[in-house]
Amino acid sequence: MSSGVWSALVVVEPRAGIADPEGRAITDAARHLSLAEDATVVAGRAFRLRLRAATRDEALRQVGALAERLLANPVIQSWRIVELEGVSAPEEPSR
Amino acid sequence: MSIAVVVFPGTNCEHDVVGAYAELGLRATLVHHRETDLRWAEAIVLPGGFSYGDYLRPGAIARFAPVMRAVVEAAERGAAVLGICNGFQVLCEAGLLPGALQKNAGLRFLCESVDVEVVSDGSVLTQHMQVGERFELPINHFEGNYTVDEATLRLLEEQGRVVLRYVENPNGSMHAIAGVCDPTGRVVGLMPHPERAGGAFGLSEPAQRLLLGLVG
Repeated sequence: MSSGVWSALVVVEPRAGIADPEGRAITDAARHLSLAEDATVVAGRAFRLRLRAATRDEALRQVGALAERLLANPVIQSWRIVELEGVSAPEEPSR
Repeated sequence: MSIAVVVFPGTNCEHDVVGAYAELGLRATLVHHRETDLRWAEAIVLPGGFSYGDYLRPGAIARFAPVMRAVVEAAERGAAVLGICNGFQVLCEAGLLPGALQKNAGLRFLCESVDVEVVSDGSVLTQHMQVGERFELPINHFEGNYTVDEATLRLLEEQGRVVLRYVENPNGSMHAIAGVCDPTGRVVGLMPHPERAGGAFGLSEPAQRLLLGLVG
């Protein structure tokens, strides 16, 4: 798809070595409940974005800028684009 | 002395700050988050609360508010800037102070009085305090766990920019840090609420000295 609507999934996680109290609480719960005895959980967030861009590179640039400036705090978090695909343009919502 | 108290949508401690300064005989003026001119202000307080609902991360959206450009300009010309609780989180997100405030270790919202110790008198906030002095301040936060990279942490300690420390670490903050300042000592952030310290008889004496520090 050369121009159109893109759907992206951005994952934001605590940087390695940064305290992750939420992940630790989930890890403890998973072990306590014997759901996954050796699992280690890192708690982050996922953001689904939908945007218009002429090219894939342009879409990547926009998603990257948004992730770096807004979605993640680089002091404590890292981010990655785990999915970027062209989608058919959504219909305008009827009013 | 002209004191500005910035109000974002969701800020809820602005009247406590105004009331505390009134008790000290000083008038503080509320300033809307869309305001772009703070050239008149000699001291600026970013009070506590839940700016923009704390959505995304505390302070993450507030730092893009129009008033923040004016706050940065004010800091650059040497105005005193104090961020309390959510205001501290906003200053960190805005890059005016280093580090970030993570969820409390233990994942509990903390609403209690804690003992803090003055680590440095090199900031506007602590200029009338004695190093080593201990007193009580209320805390009221879920995200007060001060986190910063090791190199910056060393720098903060070496340069005397850790201004307050918890006597007993309530939230997992690195080095039990309760407040830090920028290299000039004129931009300060702290998680505890000096404007609410005290009781029926008014602001506690140490809290008065802290708040008066901001204005000279």
